[in-house]
Amino acid sequence: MNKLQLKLLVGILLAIGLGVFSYKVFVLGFPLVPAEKTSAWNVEAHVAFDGKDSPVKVVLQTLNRVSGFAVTDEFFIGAGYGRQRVSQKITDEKLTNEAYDQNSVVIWSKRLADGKQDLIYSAVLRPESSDEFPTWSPPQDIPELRDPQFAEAEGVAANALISRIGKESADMESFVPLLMQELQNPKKNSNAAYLLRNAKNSRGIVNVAVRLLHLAGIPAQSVHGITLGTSSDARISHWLELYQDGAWHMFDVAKGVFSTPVKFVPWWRGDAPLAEITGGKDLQVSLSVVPDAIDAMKNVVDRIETTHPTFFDYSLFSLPVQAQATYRVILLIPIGAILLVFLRNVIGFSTFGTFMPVLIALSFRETQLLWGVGMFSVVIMLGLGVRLYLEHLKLLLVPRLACVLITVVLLMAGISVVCFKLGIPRGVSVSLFPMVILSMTIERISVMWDEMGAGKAIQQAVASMAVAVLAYLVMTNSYVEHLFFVFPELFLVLLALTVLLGRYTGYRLLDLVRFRTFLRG
Amino acid sequence: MFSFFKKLKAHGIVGMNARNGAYVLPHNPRKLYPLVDDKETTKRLTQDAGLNVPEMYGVFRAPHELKQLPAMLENLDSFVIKPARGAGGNGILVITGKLGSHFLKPDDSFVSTEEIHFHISNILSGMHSLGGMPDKALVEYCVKFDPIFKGIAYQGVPDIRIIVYKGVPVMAMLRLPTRESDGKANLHQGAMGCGIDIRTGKTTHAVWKNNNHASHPDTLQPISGVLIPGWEELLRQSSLGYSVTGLGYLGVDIVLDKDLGPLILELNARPGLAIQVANKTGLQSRLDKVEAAHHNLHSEKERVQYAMDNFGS
Repeated sequence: MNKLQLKLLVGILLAIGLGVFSYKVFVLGFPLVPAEKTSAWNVEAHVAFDGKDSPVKVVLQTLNRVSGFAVTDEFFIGAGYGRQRVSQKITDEKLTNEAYDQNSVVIWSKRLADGKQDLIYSAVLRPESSDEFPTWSPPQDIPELRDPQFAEAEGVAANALISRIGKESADMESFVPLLMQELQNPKKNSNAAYLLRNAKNSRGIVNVAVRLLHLAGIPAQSVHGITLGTSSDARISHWLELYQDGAWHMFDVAKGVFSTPVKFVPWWRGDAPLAEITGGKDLQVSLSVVPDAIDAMKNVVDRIETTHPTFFDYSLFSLPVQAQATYRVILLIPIGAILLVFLRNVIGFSTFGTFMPVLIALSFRETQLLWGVGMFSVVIMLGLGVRLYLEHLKLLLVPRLACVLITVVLLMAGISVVCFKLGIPRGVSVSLFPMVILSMTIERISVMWDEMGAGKAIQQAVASMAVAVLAYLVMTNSYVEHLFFVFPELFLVLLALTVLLGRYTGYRLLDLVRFRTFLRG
Repeated sequence: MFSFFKKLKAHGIVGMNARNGAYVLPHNPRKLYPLVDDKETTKRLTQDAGLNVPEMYGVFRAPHELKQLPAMLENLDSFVIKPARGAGGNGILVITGKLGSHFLKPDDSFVSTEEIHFHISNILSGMHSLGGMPDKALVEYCVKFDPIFKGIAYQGVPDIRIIVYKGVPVMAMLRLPTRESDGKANLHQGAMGCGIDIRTGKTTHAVWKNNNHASHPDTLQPISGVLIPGWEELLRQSSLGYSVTGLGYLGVDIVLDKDLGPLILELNARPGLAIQVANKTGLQSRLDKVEAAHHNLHSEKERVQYAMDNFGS
């Protein structure tokens, strides 16, 4: 009876999953493998804020003057909002540069807005020459110098700063990095500190830098933009455009060096923020960038939209880009989990925690494999050391766990700072590690260490790590990601297989090792 | 590789998946687990049914009760502290003697009252319990093991593990602590497993770290041929474990005390499979036989008789 039910369930799941899958592949012609090249990108800005039951106006910078790319398919989503698209003069604190006269902004307005409000701007970036990936080239117009409009005391400080750096540098190539260094560490220099007293964030620093450069006779402009890559939480990075000797030079503010931007898309220029609000509070803007998978399947989609108009209404492709990017990650979790079921119940691996390796694998996605494994090991080892020391103090269990957690957080902050100073950007992403999982792991390793000895504990830790690496390799495989995102019905097939595995009572591979005495003779 | 699997099958080896899927899951309903997962409950239950268990000196349920610890230890020379919900022998502290304000462990090292205090508070906060749930700590009688094992146990109490399927004892082994197992009787911690003939109660042969051994690795005494005293009573007690708990697939852990005879230490709803290695034979055929016959076996006596008639080696 029970067995019949099981067979029936598995049969139904397999039939539906494989049925929908083959319909999509053979009848609708969905591609089985991801497109080799991604040429277009979906960019989305999600503006969220709280209304105060009063008139509200939101100004958001939109993509504009993006050389190398065409901005197409722009959408502005805001229920009940009036919307206008206007060009706005770029003002660097009253300093206008005619060469790059305009930003393009969208203004959303509403008479009465109360409670949580969401506005979405999305656009598709298509390269103008689709053959290879374009690099960004700055405009060729000749700019003019403007009066930076410093107040009297500011002028004195600015002049003092510039003349000092001028003495220490030889040309623009050495002047700009020195200036940015001073501005980014204003503690060493009271002039810089004074000029930066109102600059709250990196954008403010960049804008002060632009005014100083004009004062020093170098036409300059700040550029704010994003870097193309899959991310549900893209960040704005800042660059400077500097004009000298008839050519434009790009300066990477984050790295402090002159370089040519790769995969960088300017969003807007000047000192304005990405978004401004009047009449609301708690303004938050999240940006996301995803390669346009639909583009890879463009032909299929176009055809199906005419023959089956509602087909995509209920697919993952109908979701906002940010949600799509999130689902690309979430859909990988079950794949990791199923891999774990296989490794545990068929192979016989034992790991710390049931699904912990899957979570570790997810955090490897943020750090890349080698860095992830390295940092994981370093944090675990240092954490274990601290845990062993705490053992001497005879702390109670939960406070001790909290101590380990605090140490782990400090360790990771320390690693991030050191890596950043050494110029290793990957080290910074360690902050995305799930710290609680790390501390629990440390605690479990040390308890096992006490009870079963170092060998067993290390063996299990290494096994967990190996499983995590394996899960990472499967979960980051682009074919796997493509298959399950385009054909989510395959999860029904996996569900069926997992149900079957759940009733597998045969031997595990490692049973052969356990019972090896029976295999002799 | 498949020929290897066939070989295991031919020996009737029950694997981990089969244990879980075919025996533990169907025959041990989840609701019965609390009876054996909490050693205090198990103790009450088995005591009420007339089984012999080590006397309990006290229970610590909350950290503030630890105030009574010094007074309790005052009157005790030897005792065992164990977590009520511990698994796999973890978190057990054995004290065999006292010297001034310090307590003697089986390996001749000393612990202070403060360290015992710390050990109990670790138990209470769930360090050794399944899933890290807050736990209780039991203080109980420390078994003075029967001199019959004198030569073949090293610094610890040997115990007897009997697998009971639907009330019928199907396989038994003697677990002998070694230097490597630190006085503990768990095979995965390095203890020695030794098969016991169900019919006679005599030890057969021993396996240590998956190799056959004729003698104990530390004492070098021969292991086979040792007769467990009161074997039939031991089987009866283990069979009673089924009647008391209702768990169809059960591991019963028994120790022999030189004064008190057999004492039931623990009941286990998920007993390990190493017993097959120790006995050099698989469980499958015995389990199948019980499956076919258990409807006709109504009392512990019948079940024990059936086991002795059928599962001799």
